[in-house]
Amino acid sequence: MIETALKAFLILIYATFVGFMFMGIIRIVTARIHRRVGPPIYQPILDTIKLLSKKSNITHGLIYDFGVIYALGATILALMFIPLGSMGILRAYGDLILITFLLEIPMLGIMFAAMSSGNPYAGIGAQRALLTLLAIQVPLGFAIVALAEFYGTFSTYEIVMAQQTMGWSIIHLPLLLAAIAYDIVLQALFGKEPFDIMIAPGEISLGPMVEFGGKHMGILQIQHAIALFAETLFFANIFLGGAVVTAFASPILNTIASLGILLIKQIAVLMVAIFVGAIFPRFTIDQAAKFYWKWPTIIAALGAILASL
Amino acid sequence: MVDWRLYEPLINFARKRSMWIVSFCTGCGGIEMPPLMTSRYDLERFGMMPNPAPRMADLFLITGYVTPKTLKRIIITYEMQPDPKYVLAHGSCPLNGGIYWDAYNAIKHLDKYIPVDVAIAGCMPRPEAVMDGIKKMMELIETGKADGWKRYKENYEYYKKNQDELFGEGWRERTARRWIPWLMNKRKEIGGGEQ
Amino acid sequence: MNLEKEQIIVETLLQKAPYAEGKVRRERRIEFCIPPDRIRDFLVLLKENNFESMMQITAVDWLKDGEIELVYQMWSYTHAIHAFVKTRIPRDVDKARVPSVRDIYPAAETYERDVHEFYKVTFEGNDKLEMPWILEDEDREAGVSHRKDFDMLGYVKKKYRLLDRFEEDKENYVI
Repeated sequence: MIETALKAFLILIYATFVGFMFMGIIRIVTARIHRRVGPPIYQPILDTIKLLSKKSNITHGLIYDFGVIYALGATILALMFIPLGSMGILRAYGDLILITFLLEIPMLGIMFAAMSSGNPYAGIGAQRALLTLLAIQVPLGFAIVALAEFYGTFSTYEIVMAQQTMGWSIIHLPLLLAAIAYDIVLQALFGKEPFDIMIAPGEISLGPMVEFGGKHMGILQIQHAIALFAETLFFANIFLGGAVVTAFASPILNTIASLGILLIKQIAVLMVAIFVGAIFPRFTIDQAAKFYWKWPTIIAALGAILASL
Repeated sequence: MVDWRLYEPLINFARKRSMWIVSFCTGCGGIEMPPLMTSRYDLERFGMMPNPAPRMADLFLITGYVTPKTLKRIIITYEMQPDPKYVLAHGSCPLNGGIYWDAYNAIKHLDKYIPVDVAIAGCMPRPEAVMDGIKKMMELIETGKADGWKRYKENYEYYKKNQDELFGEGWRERTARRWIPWLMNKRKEIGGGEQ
Repeated sequence: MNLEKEQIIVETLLQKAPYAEGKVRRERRIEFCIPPDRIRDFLVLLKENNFESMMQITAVDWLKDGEIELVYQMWSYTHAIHAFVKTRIPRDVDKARVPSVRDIYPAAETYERDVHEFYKVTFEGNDKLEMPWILEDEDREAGVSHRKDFDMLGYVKKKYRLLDRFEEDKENYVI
């Protein structure tokens, strides 16, 4: 009991720290692509400390405060279900559909809080974010179905175990197609170009987050860090073969080695997202929805059909 | 409980290294902002990012002259920001009127209406001069002397008296209602034309 | 310098509008003077002769003559020629009335608002003259205008209460 709580706490601290490093990596790699120097890697931690130390001067009622905590709670819960090497608290219960569902709830929570504040920009941003969420469901569904058909099971832990013997998922053709479709969906989940219409800085003043002041924004930064970690970890587990290392004798070295291998795979996924995001401009919401329902759907559906043959 | 004053050095370090700027480019100095943000004089290595929402920003750059129309919006935006907030005035127009010293439409002495922390002289200052001013602002934050927001709260009657003398009493409601008759009439016109 | 093209255009227009006087000032600039009640006919004539856009309506206050001179600045893309069209109207506020030209050139609506706000010239037929433009309500009530009989420096000193030590001396400015 105590050991489970301690493991959960350590996973949370590790995920928050690495998530902040990922946010810093996004900013400094984008800056280097623009031929600038860029902020130091630990910059998001300074941002969060500054935001949490601001005195708040507005209040918009209960849902405004509650929606942010709801988003953070859903992300932490999603983190506990994903197998992290040989650790993982609730990994026996974590199946694909549950984790996908839990990773989409934070957007809903932010929408509640944003719409209850009464700012018209927040309303427009919330509409667009919900439309984006609707648009990404179709290729996401086909990709998950392709995985389940191929491996015959919905449980994430069993998929990771199966990959240790059968090799990485993306070696097989149907799962390669599913991985490509899922990678395009991942751009929208991160909130990076070309699908960041819901954040849209400068166009609608950051969309849903326009009314969030000091402490709420600090909690949202923490949520973004953990969400980055959880989404890249999920991708690395189901498509790139999560790490289960049994070479060393002591369990601590095994854990450290598997965490290291997972970190490398996660950074690879992040780099692909950064490079795509630094080049493209932004799609409008109807262009984004039309794009998602055309090519990624076709690729993922092809993958699902091939997987069941 | 935890005494947060023990962590003041860490919190001041975080505050001085991640100032977010409200993207409100007043006056002719708005043209000096892009050279600061782009590759040559990179401001992002100090952690400063332009941020469109006033509720999340701390630094307000007043670049250039300020007209009474703009001053009303600046006051409203300044009061929307959460504490602690800082104001940096570029150019000689916020200091004493600059080249518009005899114009009916430019504010002569900005410190009477909004508390200004650091003022940078020049008719538009070069980016190196602006970096000097930002360095001075970081020193003020680190030693805890950047207290424009405290001055605004403590001497609110003084600032409010100056604002009301310039604009007339009840200027917020009047500004919010000024355009409504024109928009309403236009809608009636269009509705009448279609029928 | 070849001023043929401008001469041809001036002569064509003067044939069709006998009430006007016109001359060529220099290369690419021609100038017309017309009486104020024939503005609309002349501008329709200009529009038919490929003067597509109106750039500005400028007002000049002649205090000693007691008149305000309105200059309509027209630009032609096909000929690449800038034309001045000058009229003079009496200066008193209730007598300074000119018909509006906003149905011929739609951009004239904004320029007429500008001239109305600062020189108090009424353009008949333009119903948006009182729309909020540059001056705020407290300036409008105090009667701020760019006419030469309005003491601008005195108004600025009264409004900002800071310029008591500045004197507008023609020999030396003391700042």
